[in-house]
Amino acid sequence: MKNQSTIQNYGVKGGGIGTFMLLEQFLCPELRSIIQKIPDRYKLTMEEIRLRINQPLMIFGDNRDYFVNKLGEVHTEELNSHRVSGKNIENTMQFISNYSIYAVEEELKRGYITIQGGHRIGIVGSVLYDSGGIRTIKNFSGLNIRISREKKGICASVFKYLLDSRGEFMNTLIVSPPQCGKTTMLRDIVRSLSYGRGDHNFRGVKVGVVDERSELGACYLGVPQNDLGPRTDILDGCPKADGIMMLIRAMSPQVIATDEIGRREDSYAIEEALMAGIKLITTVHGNSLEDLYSKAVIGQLIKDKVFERILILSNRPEVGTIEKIIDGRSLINLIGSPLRNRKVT
Amino acid sequence: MLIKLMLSVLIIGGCTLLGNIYAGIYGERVKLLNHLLSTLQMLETEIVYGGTPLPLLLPRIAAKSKAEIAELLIAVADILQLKEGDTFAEAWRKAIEANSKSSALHRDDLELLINLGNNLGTSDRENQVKHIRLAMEDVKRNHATAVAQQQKNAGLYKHLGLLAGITIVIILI
Repeated sequence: MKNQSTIQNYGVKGGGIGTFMLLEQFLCPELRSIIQKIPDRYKLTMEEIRLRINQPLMIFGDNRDYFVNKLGEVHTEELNSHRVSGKNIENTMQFISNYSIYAVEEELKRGYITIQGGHRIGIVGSVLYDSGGIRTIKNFSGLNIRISREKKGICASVFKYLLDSRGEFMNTLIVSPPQCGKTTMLRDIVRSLSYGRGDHNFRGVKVGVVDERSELGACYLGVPQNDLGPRTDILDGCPKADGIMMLIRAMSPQVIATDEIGRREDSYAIEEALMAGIKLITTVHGNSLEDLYSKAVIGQLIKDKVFERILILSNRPEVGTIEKIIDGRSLINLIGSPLRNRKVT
Repeated sequence: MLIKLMLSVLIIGGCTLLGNIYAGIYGERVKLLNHLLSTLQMLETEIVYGGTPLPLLLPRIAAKSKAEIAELLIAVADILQLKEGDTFAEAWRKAIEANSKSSALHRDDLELLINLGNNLGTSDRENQVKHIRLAMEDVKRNHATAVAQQQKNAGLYKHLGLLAGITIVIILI
């Protein structure tokens, strides 16, 4: 466990109240003063702040949502909640876009903006469409502020299952329904691969990350806001298939990590990577292994036994619980009971 | 006699200077509007080709702008830096109001700047260009008026200063 703590200390960003204070700066003054008054225990577990025009201000955390009133009091029922006004959203957009909507045009087309600290803000409103696809969003009607927390060390309990008898990393697939900590788990495994883990006699390897949705590294102005380790190269905002090919050609990675694999062209790129002897770690939405067989690309990859380890996550009893670790060849579950994923410090 | 002569020269010189200063104010406005025009041009270029966010862009074009215009841009950037919750339009207006007393610009010029501030940063590039172009048209119009006023009044004040000096001297003698 000694090495574990050194890994923790490399952090660039904590997950506590400090993160939260930075985030508050991106809210308009009225909302800022309300959110500031929310009790700390909610702030620490809060995952989302939801602003919807003319609807109550809400937060989401611990697997459920809460209404927030003007005094920052948190209720499970709607009770004198603060109604989010159009002005609230418009002004908050000013701070999120750094006062410059024109500078985030590309991000608006994708529907979200990554801000300093790695937090992501999903945006809806009226979409302007033309022959080239989505042109922009205007008249913003809703914002979803997703609070990013690096949970360093959450892969400690599973890491040993991901290594083969020679201590080398195996192709891994992480499966979970939305909001069960898929991306967080992937990020922590990438970090461990990159730093290396003395506790498992694992030396750090070169990791190439194709971060199509800017969730893993959460780059802001090109600088990763999350710590992905010293041996990690990040292609930000790049489509996965193209990104994998670019990394193979240019960065000589030993492991390639991507989020949410599933398009046709992805499988070609994966084949290419496997042929080059590169190990793979990726994620996919799904509840169980059976779910995945019906998916075209991923189903085929599983049938071809490309993935040697399949992690299945769930949110029962809490986010990030590891339901099963399946051996990809024999399809046998390697753990007796689900691993509760307590952050190891 | 010598003292009388020296005092007379002093009075005439002083009055002429006063007249020139008055005349200079008109010239100052014309100059500032000219600077403003080139600053707006830079602003447009930075937004269209650079896509630089305003808090970074303002100090950059301030470095290339002149005198009062540069001060204004820096003041806005400083307010934004504080992150006290001012929107861009508010920060922009505050900076202009704070400078307005000492400004050689007229109320019309300041109004059109405030108007521009209400729209800066609130839309996509295409739209931003429209707003900046519109402001530039207004500045050009004000510039033309300022030049006309300068031609009409600057000469007048200069002569007025000289003549007032001579008049005072004559009366005193």
